[in-house]
Amino acid sequence: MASQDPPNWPTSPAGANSQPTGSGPAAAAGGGSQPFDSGLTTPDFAACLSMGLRPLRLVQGYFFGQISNWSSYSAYPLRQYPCACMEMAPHPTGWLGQVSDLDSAWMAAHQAALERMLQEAAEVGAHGVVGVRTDMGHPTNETSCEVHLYGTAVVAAGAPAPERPWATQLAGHKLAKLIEAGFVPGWLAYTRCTTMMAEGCYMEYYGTGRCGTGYQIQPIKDAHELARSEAIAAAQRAAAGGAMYDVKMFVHESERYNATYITCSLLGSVVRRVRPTMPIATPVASLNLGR
Amino acid sequence: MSNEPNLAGPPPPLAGPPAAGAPSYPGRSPASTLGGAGGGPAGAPTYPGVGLAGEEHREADLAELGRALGSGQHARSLGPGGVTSDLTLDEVLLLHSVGLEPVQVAFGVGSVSILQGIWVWSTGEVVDARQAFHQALDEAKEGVRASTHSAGGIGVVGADVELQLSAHRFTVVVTGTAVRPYTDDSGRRHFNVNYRSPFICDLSARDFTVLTRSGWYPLDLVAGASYVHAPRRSVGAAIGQATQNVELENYTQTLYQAREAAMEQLQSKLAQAGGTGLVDAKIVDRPVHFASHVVEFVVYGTAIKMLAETHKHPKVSMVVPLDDAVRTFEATSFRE
Amino acid sequence: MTNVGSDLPRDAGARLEELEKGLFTSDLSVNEFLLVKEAGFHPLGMVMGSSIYHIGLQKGNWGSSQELTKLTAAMYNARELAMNRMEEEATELGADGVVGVRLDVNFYEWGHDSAEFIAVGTAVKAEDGASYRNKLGKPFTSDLSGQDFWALVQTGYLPQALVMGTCVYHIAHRGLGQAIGQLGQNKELENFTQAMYDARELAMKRMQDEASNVGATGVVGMRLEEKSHQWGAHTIEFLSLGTAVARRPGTEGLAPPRPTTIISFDN
Repeated sequence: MASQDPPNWPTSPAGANSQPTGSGPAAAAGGGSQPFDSGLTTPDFAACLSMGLRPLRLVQGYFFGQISNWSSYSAYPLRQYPCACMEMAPHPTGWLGQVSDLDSAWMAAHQAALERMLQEAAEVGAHGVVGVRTDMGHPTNETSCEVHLYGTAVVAAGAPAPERPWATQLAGHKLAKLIEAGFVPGWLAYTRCTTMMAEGCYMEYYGTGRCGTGYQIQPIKDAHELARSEAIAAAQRAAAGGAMYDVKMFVHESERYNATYITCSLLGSVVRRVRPTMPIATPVASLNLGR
Repeated sequence: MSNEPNLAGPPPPLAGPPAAGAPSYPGRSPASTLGGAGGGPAGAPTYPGVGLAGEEHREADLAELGRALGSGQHARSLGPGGVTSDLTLDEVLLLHSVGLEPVQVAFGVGSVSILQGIWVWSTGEVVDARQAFHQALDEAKEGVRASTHSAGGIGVVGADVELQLSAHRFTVVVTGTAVRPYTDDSGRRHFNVNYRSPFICDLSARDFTVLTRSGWYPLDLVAGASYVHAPRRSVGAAIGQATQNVELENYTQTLYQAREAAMEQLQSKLAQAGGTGLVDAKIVDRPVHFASHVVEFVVYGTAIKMLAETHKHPKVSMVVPLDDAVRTFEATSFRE
Repeated sequence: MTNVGSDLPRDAGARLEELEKGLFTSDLSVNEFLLVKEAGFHPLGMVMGSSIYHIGLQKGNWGSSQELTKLTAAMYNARELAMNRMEEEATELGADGVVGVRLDVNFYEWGHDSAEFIAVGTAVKAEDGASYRNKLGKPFTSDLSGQDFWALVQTGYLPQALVMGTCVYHIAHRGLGQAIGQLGQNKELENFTQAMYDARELAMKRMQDEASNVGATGVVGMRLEEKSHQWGAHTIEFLSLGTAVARRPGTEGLAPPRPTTIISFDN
């Protein structure tokens, strides 16, 4: 029995073969007859049109990988805190480390997904991607790592194509305000830092001695501070020369194998300034009665 | 230690009113007045003097900007490192309109050790817990101020206060965006309030802008806390009262007194910071999770003070939006 | 005014004195703060009252739907005590009224059969110096937010008091024979219908009676809450809460301003 696919149904994922009117800049400039699909809301769509941005299609980038348990929990040791108890032999009571393998794995995963999304956008001849959403998680078990980025690829009428499509989380009027303010969107950046802190006099833990100093404060404080400052410093490097706005900062604390893990992650849009910022119109104070 | 800001002179003169005309964005009316100490003909929008000298707000030439999107040229470097900020773009623009710009995410961590024995059920207030709270909060505030100062900021906006109490430790983390006065190309500063040490404001950037335009400025984050043991009832009294509706005066007085004590601490710290008032107080009122016979009552907020001569009233109009919900696109996967 | 009522804790006196000197604290948001000022009032400070109340045991007849009057009296008295203390604090401050009142009930593990009732609000005073207290000469109370308060004042009305009516009702269980006989049928459960209807009516009527006692014209912002608290599913407290309002003298014929209709382009 012959397949009953509807006509023009793509038989393979996005690629030159599946687009009936051809792909690349020719299709975009000529405004091909391929209907566009987009993840834009209706107000955002209206705003895009008024800005001269024409949506092309929904593009996505996906990465699914595995992070070994070893990477997830082993830390590069940074500092040790001596115990002040009365035992004869000096011993450490706490130590601080950075789980750098885990962080670089996640950051690489995000970068890969972003690259793939931009590549798809470039293939259809887009100038940029708006309304980008990021989903990250562990779908199957704790060692799995999934990053999914999706957004609407758009082309700016009458403008030359950039070397690389830009990407931004904004869409619609918010994007217009960004441009009015003198910025152009760049790309998305995701940085994170996980620190690990283990405390407790091991003499007491193994039951071989008495240690009366109790819990120390410095290790947990340093762990908190290091996680945050490293993540912020990495974000500043990622935004070099530009600005990173709309940063969402997540701090997650968990305990495993008698150690405390603190993860600080930042996700934001990098923008570059092309003009000095123009003043905004004075806002009107209004009370919304239609709740 | 008072945080009296020194005003560096009268507010800067107003820029000329923007050109009146039909707005190109729906919902934005040209006739708007918000703040502004006079100036401008009646009906024309007044503008509190922020912006480039001689330049007014003009509607963007979108075609020109679309071309800029394509080429991305003339990107001007903002300095060796980038700017990080957890403010949305709207908040950044609002801060610009009062003369400030974000610099960096700033944070401070304070952590104090607690002896576990203080949580054993006795009577009265758990004084050590209250002292631990204040010590940890002060440490966190010092950390934020140091972080802000080293980034070149004059204060922190949108501070988020995280309180973590466990049986042996109290940790407080304060995170916010450091801001500094915005200097335009001609070198003019538009935010002319000088602070001796960086201010900490836990109001959002939008609330900060609205307050500042009304003449009120933030000074510092202040808090009061009290931890109190619940009283015990004797078994005889419990059985005797089983069928009665009666107020338990001992309990009432203990908890009520504890709450008033926390508010009293808040007020005295407010007066010490030199503030006149406090808005958007956050209240935490619950039993301590690992020791449920101890009730925790914490109240904190930003101390503010009116620096303009009088309170500037925004003219408020009522609107009835005709929208219903907008459908947004979300991808779901096979996980929950 | 340094006379502290016998009911209030000792720290309250010192705190209220400080507030009289011009310092204010409030849990109003920034928008609410500015709107309260727009309405012509200035916040004085946070006021609160609390009461820990032991609720006597009362069990209803298993087979009949009835009001559990002892429990009703307990819930009502406890809230009254808390609100009266809050009003006392407001009176100490010389306030015209209290806005943004929150009524909470806390059950603690250690408080068997007892609960804490708390009322917290922000005391305000009119900036024009005239008295805006209600017809009984006491500061008005309302659970209206700052936004609702401003909108109400635009219409020429003022809050008079936060009025409440409560009714704790026990709903009859169906007999075993009756339950088995109705298995598999789509049927109205008349015992539930009648019981819940009666209970709601009682709660709302008591609220309306309170409103009349205060000399109000009507009640706005009413809500009806139904909770079982700790009594099991067949015993429900119906609490009806609202703000009683009356026209400010001299504002007859005042037409409220017309709102502008807009379409918002935010998502």
